[in-house]
Amino acid sequence: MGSLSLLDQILEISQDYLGPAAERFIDRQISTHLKKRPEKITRQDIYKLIDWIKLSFALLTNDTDMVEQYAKRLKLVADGKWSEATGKKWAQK
Amino acid sequence: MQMERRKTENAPSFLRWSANSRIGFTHFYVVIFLILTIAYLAEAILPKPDNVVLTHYHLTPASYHWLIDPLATILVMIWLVSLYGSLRVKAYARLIQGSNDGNGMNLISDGLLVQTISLPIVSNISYILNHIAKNHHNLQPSATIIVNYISLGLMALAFAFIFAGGQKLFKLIPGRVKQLPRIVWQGVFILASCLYTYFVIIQPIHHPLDRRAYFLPDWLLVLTIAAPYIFFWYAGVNGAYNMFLYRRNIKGSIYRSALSFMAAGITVVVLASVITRIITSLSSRITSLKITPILLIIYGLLVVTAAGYILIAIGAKKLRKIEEV
Repeated sequence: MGSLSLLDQILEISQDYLGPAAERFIDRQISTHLKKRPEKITRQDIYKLIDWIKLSFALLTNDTDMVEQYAKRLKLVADGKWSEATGKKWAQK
Repeated sequence: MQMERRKTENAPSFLRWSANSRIGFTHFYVVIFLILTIAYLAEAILPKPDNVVLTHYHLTPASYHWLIDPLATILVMIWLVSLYGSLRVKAYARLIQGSNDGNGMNLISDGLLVQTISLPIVSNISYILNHIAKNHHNLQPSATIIVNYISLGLMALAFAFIFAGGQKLFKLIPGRVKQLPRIVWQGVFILASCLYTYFVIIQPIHHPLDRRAYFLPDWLLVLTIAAPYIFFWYAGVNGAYNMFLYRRNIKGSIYRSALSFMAAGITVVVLASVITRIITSLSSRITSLKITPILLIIYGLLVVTAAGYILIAIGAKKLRKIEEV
């Protein structure tokens, strides 16, 4: 898991919520709000991106807990805490 | 539509042509569908009813139209709902084309489009050929055979697409999937297929209205009608089942929630189509019933089919939203 790129880590977490649509969702968020190629994303970019992702994600679900959970996990990735961001405790139904 | 334009406005010219041609194809499809639908409505409502039908069901011309005209109108509304659902899925599939799940969705949407347009095509061809056969009785067998094969061909194409799409989605499921449920329903399907073949062959003729459904010798009937129907029903049901497994096993709680509507709708549409065909195959038994049960069966199947397409449209809308935020 340590060998995963930053983008792959974000996608891995996003797939728990958006499945096959995760890659398209993240690519769109990065291209639209950060105006850069997804593979060029940095940890600082993730902090900027989280609020945008929260806004977009909130349009897809009424479950505010899920939205907060997703944002929390992305913040852990940005903080370099990949192992905390993954694991069974975050498992979705 | 805007996303599609954004994708292609800086693309090479051949891609822009391809995108425009796809949009043009959709318009062409809708126009043809509407023409066929209006033609069917005119064919159903305008002509005088058949005297044999009136006598058999103890109807007057007025009461016949009281029954048939609303049925024809509701049928057309069902077709329009089917069109809406199919186009919604196609629009979603176009949005995600080129991706792993996009390829499977695209095939499934093609299957639904074929299934949708087959309804007015078969109805119109059946009306025209049977109208010709009424005045030239020796052409009745040919008319019946042609309609049966066209109906079979279109259903086969639709279900082949749905099967292929289901297969592509099934391959995206991570890990292993339990096979026991599939084995069980395949066993039930084999049994049901044997029963279907039996009932197709034994078609008693007791009344002028019990016109032969196939005008084919039994061996040809089994080989070219019953067997292909069973094969492609299996393909269609398998495709719907693969989509169900995909929905159940793929990651993504929000994606799965949106997909559940589409998966349920496709299952309903496939099963309703199969059941409708089975009932048509048992037509001689049904014409021995009174008119009310026949109408209840027909209305029931139409409502179920419409419900399926509404579910499909809802699912496509939810999935599309994921791609647009």
